[in-house]
Amino acid sequence: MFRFIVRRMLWMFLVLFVVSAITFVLLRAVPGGPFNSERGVPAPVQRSLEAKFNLDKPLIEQYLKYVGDILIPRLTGPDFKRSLTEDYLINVPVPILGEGAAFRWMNFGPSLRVRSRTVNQLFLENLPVSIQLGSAALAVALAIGVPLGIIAALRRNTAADYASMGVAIIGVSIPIIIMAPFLQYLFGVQWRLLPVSGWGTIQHLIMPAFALGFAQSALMARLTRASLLQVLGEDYIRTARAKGLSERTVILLHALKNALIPVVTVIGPLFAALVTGTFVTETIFAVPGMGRYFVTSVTNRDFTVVMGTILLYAVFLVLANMLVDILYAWLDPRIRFA
Amino acid sequence: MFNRKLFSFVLLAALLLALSAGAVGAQDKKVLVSGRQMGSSDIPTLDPAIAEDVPSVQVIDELFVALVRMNEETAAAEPGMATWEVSDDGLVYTFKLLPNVPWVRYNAASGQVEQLTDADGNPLVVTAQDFAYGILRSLNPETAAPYQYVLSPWIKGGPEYASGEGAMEDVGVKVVDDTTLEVTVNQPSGVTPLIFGLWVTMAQPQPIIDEFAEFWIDPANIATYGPFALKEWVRGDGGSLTMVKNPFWPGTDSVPQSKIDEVVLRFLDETVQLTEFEAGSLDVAEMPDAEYARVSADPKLSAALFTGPGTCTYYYGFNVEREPFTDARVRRAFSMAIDRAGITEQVTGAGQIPAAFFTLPSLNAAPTSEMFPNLGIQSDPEMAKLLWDEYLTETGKTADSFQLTLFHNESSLHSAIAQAVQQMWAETLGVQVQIATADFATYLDTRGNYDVFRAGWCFDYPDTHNFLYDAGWHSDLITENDTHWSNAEYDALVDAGFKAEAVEERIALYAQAEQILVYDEAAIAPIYYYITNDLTAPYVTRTHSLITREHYEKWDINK
Amino acid sequence: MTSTTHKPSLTAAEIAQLDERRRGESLWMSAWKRLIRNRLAVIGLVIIGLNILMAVFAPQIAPREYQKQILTDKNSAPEWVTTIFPNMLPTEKGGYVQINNDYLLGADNLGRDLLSRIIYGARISLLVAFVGPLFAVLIGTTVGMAAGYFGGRLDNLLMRIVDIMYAFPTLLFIILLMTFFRFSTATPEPGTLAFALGDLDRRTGGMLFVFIGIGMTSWMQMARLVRGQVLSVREQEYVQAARATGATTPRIMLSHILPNILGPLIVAETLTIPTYISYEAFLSFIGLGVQQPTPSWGSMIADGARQIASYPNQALFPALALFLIMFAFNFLGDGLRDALDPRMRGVD
Repeated sequence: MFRFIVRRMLWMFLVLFVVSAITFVLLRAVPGGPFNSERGVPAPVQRSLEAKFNLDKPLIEQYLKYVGDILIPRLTGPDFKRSLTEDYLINVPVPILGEGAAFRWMNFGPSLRVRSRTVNQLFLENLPVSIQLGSAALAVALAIGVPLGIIAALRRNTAADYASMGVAIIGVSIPIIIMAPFLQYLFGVQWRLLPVSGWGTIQHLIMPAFALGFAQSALMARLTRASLLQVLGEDYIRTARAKGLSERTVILLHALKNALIPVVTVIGPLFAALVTGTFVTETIFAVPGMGRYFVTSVTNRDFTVVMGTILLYAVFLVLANMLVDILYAWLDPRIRFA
Repeated sequence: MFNRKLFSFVLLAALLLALSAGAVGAQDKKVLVSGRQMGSSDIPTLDPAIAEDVPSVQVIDELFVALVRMNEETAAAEPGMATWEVSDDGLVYTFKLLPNVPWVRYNAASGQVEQLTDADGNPLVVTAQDFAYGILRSLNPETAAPYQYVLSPWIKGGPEYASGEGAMEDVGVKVVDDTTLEVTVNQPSGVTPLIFGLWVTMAQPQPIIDEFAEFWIDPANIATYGPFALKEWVRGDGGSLTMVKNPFWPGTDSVPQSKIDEVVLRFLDETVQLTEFEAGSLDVAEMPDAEYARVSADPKLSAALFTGPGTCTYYYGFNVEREPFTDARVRRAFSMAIDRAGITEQVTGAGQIPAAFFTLPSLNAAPTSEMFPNLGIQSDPEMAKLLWDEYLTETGKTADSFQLTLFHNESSLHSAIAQAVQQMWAETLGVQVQIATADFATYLDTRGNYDVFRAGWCFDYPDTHNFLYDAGWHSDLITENDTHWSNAEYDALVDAGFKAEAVEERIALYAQAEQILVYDEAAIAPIYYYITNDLTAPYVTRTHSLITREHYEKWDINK
Repeated sequence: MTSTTHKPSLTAAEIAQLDERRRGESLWMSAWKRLIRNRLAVIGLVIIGLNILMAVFAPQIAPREYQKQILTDKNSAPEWVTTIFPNMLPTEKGGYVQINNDYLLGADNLGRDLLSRIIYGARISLLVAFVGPLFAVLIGTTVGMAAGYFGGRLDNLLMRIVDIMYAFPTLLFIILLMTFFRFSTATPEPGTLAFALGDLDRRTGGMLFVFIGIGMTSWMQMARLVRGQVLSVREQEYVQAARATGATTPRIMLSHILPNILGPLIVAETLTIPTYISYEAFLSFIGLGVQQPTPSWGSMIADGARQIASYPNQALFPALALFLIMFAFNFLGDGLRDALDPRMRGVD
């Protein structure tokens, strides 16, 4: 298992390297820069900005500097001053080396557009919001999808099957940009039960989590249904039934545990997708998460933010998949780390 | 046993009392919640030197006060942090500062706005040095202030220092004593006081900036002195910024002490703002144009609706280096073929005003259509056709021999207008124009390569000079002018208008310049003047700003 | 040694073929039977069929030109629409909605007929629904089959590429690709490759890059699936038999392996189609989708959503169309899975 994790980690670094290189090249090939504005930027200002943020160097040098700032840890003395270009994600004081010495690692650079914030701050302040929303949405997707899938499988090809799958598919078929305003109108304006938009309390979480999670419940329902159907056809279920165990016990104790394995495998990527694919939901419900940055940073040519978010996502995905593999092995002892 | 019961009863009573007291306290506090649409997803900065967008400047204008305060209702220059005198030759401005205005910061632990003190515990007050530092920092090329180009031409030695060629010592900013600042300007002009109302001239706290670098604007670090202090700033789309009344602001006629205790600005799209307003959770909201018809027909909402003048002009620029727009007649023909009233009534449809010329009529020294009914370009399909045919006959070309492209940045509004104009040009002139779009960054970079491009100009300071000069039509700024047009006669008129003292004379000169810009030469086709639509709850007393930023210290809430 | 004296009645290859045909026929026939027994799948199939007809015959069916603006009719709605949406109060009753019964579903914010735009919009959504899988099948199957069949180093290389592509957040990658393609070709100068591409994109109403963007992110899943399938059939008797008779590699792949792994591929792609359709809608929402005036349901919904409180019909009708097609593909996909997935068969 340890070797497995180490190998995955090494692989992750390679993936991140390639992903960042591709992103970097694509971004720089598009016209426009982060400092453009309607009134035109005076030449001295443009020069000064480019020098400050290293955009005046050859591309390859810029890329290496970017990667270096993230990868290469630094030891700093007491004269270290945190600034827009010197902001590290990991800061560990090392008193042995003297007063004020610290080990610092992972500088994702400043947001070029905003010029008052670093990509690290964005991770620290806005990512948790997206993770909370994503987790809540995942819970909604599971809470709606799994029961529907179970009903559909147990009552296969009956009206109950059609109805439950129908409900799940309604979720994925209604665009959030339509569902959200209706939820807002009904629950916010008409009945005044929930806040229309914003963030901070459980009430704020309900509508966006539902809108986001309902859309994914179809996937859950479908997976649960399919794998439960398959499991129900297996010999050990027949054996269990033949032993005279109650149908309830058979399904809950024997079938469901195995049937949920495929569901578990998609939770990783799904969670990653829910955390990052929240642009529309976050915009309409005014949730201060990462979602909007995915889109606006590309439009604004905020190079560092685009790179940072893409890398973050890639880490997320690789880690999520690794976690799933471990979980998978735990659920199904037949699977060994390959 | 009994004692314990009594004890819990007392405790419960105390708790209830405390709760109700808290509730009463909360009710007593006047909190205004206002929606604000962000350009991207957040307020980009609160640094007066670096700000360039409306939401940032809105907050900065309340946290800091410039030497000169622009009256938000009249756009006139009023005393801000200082009163001033001008030398006879109009070149030296002597500012006398309000004494003993302390630098403050909100303390989250105590919940109070607190004065900042120096190492010996004496309160730090705003001095002339702070203003001198602010102006010089804004001009310093190292700071890379986007707005230095507006400020630098005015101040003696400013252009040289800002371009990195001159020295800081040669800039005409002199600290006479703690409360007296002397600034030498490059040329006499009636516009100058407004320049000292710009955020780039505000006092900036050097020790704080030195200590925290770019993070000095974080709520835990910032030092401010205006009528409000910064309480909280939740960053990101859907975030919010809370300003709290600064009790240490002395209060003057033009910048009184605030009656409202807290102002919460929520970063929301206009559509969400309207829904929030209807749900009763916003006191003030901006209104999306698309909902204008419904809102103005709704008895309750229409009572809350206010339509005021906007700050921008929407226009199309012709690239005068590309055939057939090399010919002024053609440009005029295309401009005349645009049915402006059709666009404002049918496409934008929220009270926008058709524009016959470029400058917003609400600005200082701007011509208006009351004064000059025939000024500028009028929509005239027949004349347009005539001019266009004349050109075609002369050159022996046909309308379909041109492959013309109209370029705009991606937005549903621009797209709707472009499609309407496309149809007008097809119907009137028989030209099928292609529409190309791009995201904003690409658009800014490449619009100078297309035949026609959409653009908007919003003023930085409320004077005509900012439209006719700074927008780029003067040949001084030809590199920033994507129509590539320039005209010596126009330059001369704009220069004369700038130097003239009497407002009537300025207006007359600017009117002539406008006629060249939009009619004779027709380098651009003005389309409409923006307006602002907002909704205000009935219990809010307020002013309506002409200058993009509200002065909340003049508002009140009477629930 | 003695084989010359004993001539088999059929060659191994012929046996393999026969076997395969028999298998194939029975497999497809029984699958079809299972599919049409599933009522929802049949409804899905019918809806898709009707949509295809609508897209093909759009010029004949649409009551008006989809791009024709009549600005004076903007946002007008027929009477029946104002009765089902009671907040759409007509002007005669002191409201704000202009009644015009000439538009069966209403007109949009530029006075264009909603119904005609929805009818033409079917073209984009269906094209996306079929082009996404086309890319997926072309690239994904090629990569997957090559990896699975040849194995070894090639397999390793191809699968690592797939893994890396997988690490990109799909939507963000599409945004990046769309931005790259569309805006690095944003030049008005003819004669360059960039211009030619950009021009082609404009001529197709912006569809070209939408397809490329979606296509480039859609093939990885297919490649993995195909590889897995190929691995499982590669060593089966009929393939070995074909190989023994000296059939060329492309022939083995195309006529022996591919038909046998088609089932799971079809199921997987049908179930992914709604995702492609929603990507298109998302791209339209953020302004990177098809270009105006080309109508797509996604862009119509995005435009309509801006005034959904005032004119709900402008967003809801295209949303209903989108809903129906998503619903149809989802049910068809589920039906196909039940019908084709071998693991399901034992359950009957």
